[in-house]
Formats: sequence, C-alpha cells, structure tokens
Amino acid sequence: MKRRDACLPVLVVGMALTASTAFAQSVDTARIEAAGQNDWLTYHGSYKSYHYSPLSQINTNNVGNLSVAWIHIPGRSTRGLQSMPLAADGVLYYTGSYSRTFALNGATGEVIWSYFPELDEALIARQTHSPYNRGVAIGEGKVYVGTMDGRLIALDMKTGKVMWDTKLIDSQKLTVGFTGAPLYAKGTVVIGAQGGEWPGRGPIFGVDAATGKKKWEFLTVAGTDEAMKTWGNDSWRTGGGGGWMPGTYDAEANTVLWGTANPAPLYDWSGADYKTQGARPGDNLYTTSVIALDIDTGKLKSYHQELPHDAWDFDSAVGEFVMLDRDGQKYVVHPNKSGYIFVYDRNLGVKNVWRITQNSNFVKDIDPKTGELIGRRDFSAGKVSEPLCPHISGGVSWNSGSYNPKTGLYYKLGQEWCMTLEVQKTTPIVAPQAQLNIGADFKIAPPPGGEIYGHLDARDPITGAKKWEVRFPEPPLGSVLSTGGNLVFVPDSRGTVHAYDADSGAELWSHGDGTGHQGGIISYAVNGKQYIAVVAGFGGMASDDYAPTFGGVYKSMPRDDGALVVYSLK
Amino acid sequence: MRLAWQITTLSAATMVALFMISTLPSGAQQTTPGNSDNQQLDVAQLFATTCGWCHSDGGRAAGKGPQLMDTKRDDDFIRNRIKHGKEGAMPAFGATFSDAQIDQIIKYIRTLKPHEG
Repeated sequence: MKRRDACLPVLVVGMALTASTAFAQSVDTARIEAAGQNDWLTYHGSYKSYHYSPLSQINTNNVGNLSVAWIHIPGRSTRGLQSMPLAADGVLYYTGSYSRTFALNGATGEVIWSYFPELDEALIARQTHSPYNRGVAIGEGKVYVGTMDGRLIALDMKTGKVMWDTKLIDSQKLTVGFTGAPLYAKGTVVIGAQGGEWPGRGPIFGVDAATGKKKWEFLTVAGTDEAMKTWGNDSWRTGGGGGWMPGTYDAEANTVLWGTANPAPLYDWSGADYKTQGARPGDNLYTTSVIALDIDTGKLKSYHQELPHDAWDFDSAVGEFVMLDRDGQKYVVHPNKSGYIFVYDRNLGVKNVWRITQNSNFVKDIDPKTGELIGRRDFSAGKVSEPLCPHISGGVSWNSGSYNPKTGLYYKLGQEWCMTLEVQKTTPIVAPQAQLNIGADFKIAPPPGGEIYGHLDARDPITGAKKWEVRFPEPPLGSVLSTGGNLVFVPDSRGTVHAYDADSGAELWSHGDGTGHQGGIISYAVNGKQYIAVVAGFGGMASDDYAPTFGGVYKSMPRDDGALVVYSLK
Repeated sequence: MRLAWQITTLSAATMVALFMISTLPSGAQQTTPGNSDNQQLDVAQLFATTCGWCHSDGGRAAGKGPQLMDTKRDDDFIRNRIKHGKEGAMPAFGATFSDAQIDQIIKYIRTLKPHEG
C-alpha cells in the first residue's frame, strides 16, 4: 500500500501532462463510464452518479491549508448560479444564467472561450423558473447546452464555435424551455424539458450528437397507450411532467435512467378518490417516476412511479442515480423530492425505501418492500387543517448528494420545513401562452413544535442506517462532494463552504464565498494539482423564500450575482 | 368536447373566461363563450393558479414576491409591474392580460383582508 502511494503522484502528474498536451482530447462514453482520476465528465461526475472524486491530494490532514486559487465572474447572474461545472483535460466548462457558457483554464481561470447565446428575451421575461442554467454535457469534441427558449446547442470544445443549434420545444406556446444539463452517452445527447406545474406533456429528447438531428422524443405524460389510460377526462393534454434534471446511462443495459416531474396542477382537489375524481383522475403515468429508456430509440423499457398521482409536488426529476454493487446485487439509489430514498435493482424493481427527513406527513409511510404509499393524504378543495410536510421545496433539494465508495456512505442533505395550504380548483391556462397551474394558495411554515432546519446525513445508501448528522440553521440547497481525501464538502445557503471528516462528520475547514450556494461542486486536477470548484450565487424557486423566512444575512444577499470559486492547497 | 381540447383552440380573449370555470369536476367542465376584455376575472382563482407560488397565501403574505395585502404601491406601479415584470423576480403578463383585466387584479389586491380565524 505504501509503495503504491509513493508511485501514484508521479503517475498522476504524467497523465495530467499528457492530457494537457493533447488539449480537449476526445471524451466518449467509455471515458465517462471510467470516471478518470482528474476529470468530472458529466453532471453526476460519471454515469455511476457518485458526485465523488478519487483525488486525495487535499485530505483530512491538510484541508486547513485550502484557499482560493482563482475566481471567475460570469456576469448577469440573474437568480444566482446553479450549474455543475465539468472538467476535462485541465479545462473547466460551466454555465451561468441565460446559458452563458465558458471554457476556462482549470489551473488559472483564464478564459479560453465563452459563448453567450442570443435568446428570446421577451419570452424569458414571461417565464417563472428562469433564467438559470444547471450545466452542460461534453462528448465527441463538443459542449452541449440547453436554453430557456427551447433549444439544444452544440459548441466546439476547443473554440466555442456553434456546431449545431436545434429547436426542440415550442417555448412560445408552452412558455417552458430547458434549464437542466443534458446527458451525453453513446452518440446521443439526452435532455428533458421543464414541466411539472406547466400544462404540457413534458418531453424528453434524444438528439444525434454529431448532427443535432432529433432521434427520439418520449412524452412523460401519457407517452404510451398504457399511460394514456391513467389520465381521466383528457387531463393528459395539460398533464405537466417533464424531466428537468439530468439522469444517467446504464451501459450494460443500453438504457437511460431519468427522473420525471410532477403532474399539473400541483395540488389536486380530488379527495381520497383520486382515481376517478379531481383535476386529473388516475395515477398520471409517467409523472413522478423513474423511467428507463432505450438510448437508441427512446422506447420505454421499465419504470417505477415513485408517487402515483402525486398531489404534493414531490417529483422524481431531482437527484442522482447512484449505481453500486453490494453482495452481488446491482443497485440504483435515487432520492425522491419528498425525502424518501428509493433503492432499486437495475430493472427498477424496488429493493428498499427509506426516509431522510424527520418531518413528513404527506403519507404515513412508503412500504420498503413494494414502494406502495401507505396512508396518503389526498386533499379536497378548502383549507388543509394540518400543515403539509415537507414544504414544496422538498425534503431534499434538486441538487445532488454524494456516495463515497471508500467509506461506503451516502452523504445527502435533508430539509425540515412544512407549509400551510388551501387547495383551490383551477383551470389550466394554455393560451396565449401556458401559465403555471398550482391549485392552491400556500405559505411556508415551521415543522410542528420546532424550527426549520437542514441536515447533512452520512448514511448507508441501501439500508438508510445513519452514521452521523450535521445540522444547519437553514437548509443548504447546493450539491455535496465527497473525495478520496476522506472529505465531504457542503456549500451552504449562507455562503460558507464546509469540509467535514467523511468518517466522523467533524468540521475541519470552512471558508466564506460571499453569497449563498445553490449549485454544483466538483474536484479535478491539472498538472498534478487538485482543485475544488464551487459555484456561488443565490436566487430561484427555493432560495427566494429565504429572505422573508429567515431574514438575517439573506435580507441583503443579492439574487442577481454569482461567481465560480476555485480552491487549492496554499 | 372536453375542456382541455377546447382550451387549446381558444383565442386569448376567450381563454380568460376560463378563469371563471372552476367549480365543476374536471370531466364536466365547460367553457363559457366569453370574449369581452371586461368580463369579470376570478382573480382569487388566478392567484391559486399562477400568482400564488410567489405571492403567498393568495397575496396576503410575503413569499418570493412581496406581500400584496395593504401594499403602499400605487396603481400605476402595480399595473406596470404586472405588465412588464421585473427581471429575475416577476414574469411579465402584459401579453396575457388586457388593461381591464389588470385593473381587476389591482382591485382584488386592494380588497385583500386576512383570513378570518
């Protein structure tokens, strides 16, 4: 062991130098699958979705010496920065609001190229979940980015030149576009539309990476004959759905795994008989589901609907798809926005369900053997007597947790908050442009008998057994990173980045970034030097509630600013 | 003809009438062939449909957007904000609502009261 450690730095430096010389060498499916030592090649780190870097130069012994290496200001950071940077061969790629895309020298922050797409600004001014962007995909020498006006654009990885620009959604009519990062795998770029509370059918697209030609489209609302039967009264026409965060790729099965958004309206007035009553009678397939699509054809291979007839906006579009093996069994771990964590086999058969939140009452429980909801609360129109937990912002954020294969622990943030609610009947608005369809008036509220808070949990990903927990006065909204240096990094809402001992949860280092976090954090290496890159910048559907709810530092926190902050050892 | 299909084929002015159609079960909903910009808008329902995610509790409490009940802003300010929005904070609804409808929204805001009890 000692001997191998001694040789490793030499090997790493050699690899890095070689890679730098061959700037922007090909990123392909096999390379993303392998998840190289120095890179971060897809939104979730690799197809395994660990949000983990094996780099160990920064570790528990020296993390106290971590300091800012360089900063990049993207400008026009309306509603902050929310993207997950990627890194390949010493170059860092990331996006800001309005899909501003940058390629930066990973060691110095020097801008190699930038691309600001010309967007339909009048359309964007009419949108609600906008104009933030959550990242790019890379592959076949290109960088892929979605836009709020419904396009997917490919840029030359070396120059930033537009290689193709494909319109996928009629955003003028549907109002929504793309904020989520695409996924590249096997010659296909996959991207899911916004949707949820927006009346539409929530498409997910497969696009030819070489040409930009659309290969397939899967409708998450009534996308099959079977699914059509689960929408009473033609409610599928305005059903919502979508897939607004990236999924992952299972190479063995040739399958894309993707989480889908909730149905519209968010809240239904069906009462208990939701199968026949209310705004959208039935189970509403394939909303709030994890779906497996053939990457070549877009055909549905399997699915699990995490919340049949979701009446609480706890969709499945959030989160990572942690693929791990244990005792000969291949698992996929996927968090639902409700705070229930679903453990599947690779065919999406339920193997376990556990919960990360303390405060949860939209159901009494979810059967860990079958995934069946037990004691669900389906509202009728009118005031809901007992506050609904968790709050609409979820038991977990749309940002990602991290699995560390060295500790075997899953590091995930939980959120403890609730809401008062008065359900109201609504009618979908689809002209002249589609509008939100909520179905209720509501207000954020503390959990019964307590205060709002957030917590970082270190848990067994399969059983949910908790090893340690760290609490935060306000729920952190950013992603989590764990590393081979036995560290867990959490960028919090107040603007501090924390580093914890991965085994004990002891805080070893912290640093202020000057504004709140609600986006990605990664680690990569250039020329043998390890870096931690995090986006700072607050604003959006969850964080906009912080100033009126918590006051304090949030009162003066900008919601139109942001920076990429990169750390290394002094 | 089912409601959702009807909606997709309606003009903007006619669509506004649909705000009023809220009390019937989904399968029984029907449209009213209203086409007047001055037709009464169910603003309370509009808040539960679109506005309320940011203007909490039907506009009675601060959320992502400001509390509208008892606002000190004058009508011109509110009208301008509804029409043109505010970058990063509020969408523009000038292409969605007529001036008369925006006046109805302002009237609703002026009459907002706390919930009884």
